[in-house]
Amino acid sequence: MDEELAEFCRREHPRLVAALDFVCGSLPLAEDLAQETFARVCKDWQRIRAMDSPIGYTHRIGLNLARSSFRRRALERRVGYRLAREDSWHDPDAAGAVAVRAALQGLREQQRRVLVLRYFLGYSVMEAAEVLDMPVGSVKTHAARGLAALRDQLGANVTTEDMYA
Amino acid sequence: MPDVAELFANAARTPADGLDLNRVQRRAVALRRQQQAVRGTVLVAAGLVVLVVTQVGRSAPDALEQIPADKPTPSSSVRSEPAAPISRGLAAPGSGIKPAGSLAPVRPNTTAAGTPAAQDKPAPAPARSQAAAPAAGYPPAASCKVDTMGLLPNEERTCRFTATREGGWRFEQRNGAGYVNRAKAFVDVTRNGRTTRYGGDASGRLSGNVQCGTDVVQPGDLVTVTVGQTEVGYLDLEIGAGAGYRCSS
Repeated sequence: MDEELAEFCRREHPRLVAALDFVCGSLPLAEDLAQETFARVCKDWQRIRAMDSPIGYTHRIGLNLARSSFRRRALERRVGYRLAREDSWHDPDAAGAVAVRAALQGLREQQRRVLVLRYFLGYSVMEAAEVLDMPVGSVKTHAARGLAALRDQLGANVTTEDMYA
Repeated sequence: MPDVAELFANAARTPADGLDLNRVQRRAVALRRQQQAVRGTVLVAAGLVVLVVTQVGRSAPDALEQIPADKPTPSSSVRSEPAAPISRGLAAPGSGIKPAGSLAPVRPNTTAAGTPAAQDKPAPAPARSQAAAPAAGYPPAASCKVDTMGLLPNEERTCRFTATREGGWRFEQRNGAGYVNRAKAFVDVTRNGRTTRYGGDASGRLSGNVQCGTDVVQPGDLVTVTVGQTEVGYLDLEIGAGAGYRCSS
């Protein structure tokens, strides 16, 4: 494998898995989705490396794979045996983390995707709109509604530095 | 109060094991083979269709006129006309699928700057001649349409036919946010060796606001309909040409 590609995959892997875990609510599924994402990136690496944002494109692939319910069900069937491996990941603050992840799963899918892109992966509103192929206004709307719902579920202990950046 | 970004950072779970690069590479090879197999199957199927049609044409020329008209169904799941093979490929400069036969340089049918037009004017009608025999790669059909369903970024899909009836063309964007001007969508109509392009510019990119045309296809025309996904991907686009396609107003 191309060394540049290998470095790219190793570097982006943990962040992509964590992001997909937030979106799907299942770490084993997130790991398999991330693996499939990097396989597709590897297949078209010469084209992807020349893009303005290979990372953005990789995240787009991952999120679209997560969205495909057919693929998700097939992967869930395959990874079912891995769900018991609770010791295979780092979970620093179990109680608080569980509350946040549970609150996220209570959101609509689009709100969850927008919040993960904006506040975990650090995309601006414009960049998130590009990755999700969505109007900027929709990104803002989903973010605002998602944050409001998150506040309701987590007891209003949530702030944002800049919701509309 | 914690910041949202802080909440995410504290709740993030990361796998203890790193990425298995060997497995990634094996899967990438499998995906590449899958893609090549699909292309090969489409080409073989197209070749078989051409073979069957030319054999039928030799034995029963009048049968070609019996092909039923197909009405455009924008809301239906996209499929091609049975007689118009669809091919799919990655777009790259200088490559892509080009119509068979001798072609004059493509003359894009763009509107004048500052005058957005709702529809194309019909191409000047040459003296009517007998409908030409179908050219290789252009099976007789009333119409065909292609869409971007399943296309990866920058991939294209094409259908070709020899028109058996009059018709127009129509482009639709079913969903997707903007960026449509990064998509490719065009109809090439070749008549008496001269090709006119509708919808896209010389590179195939959508240009202006022209999204339909009425009565631009005549029986005997060689028609190529192409759609290409944008480089950012995931727009739901459809373009069709032939019988039943026209501007609505």
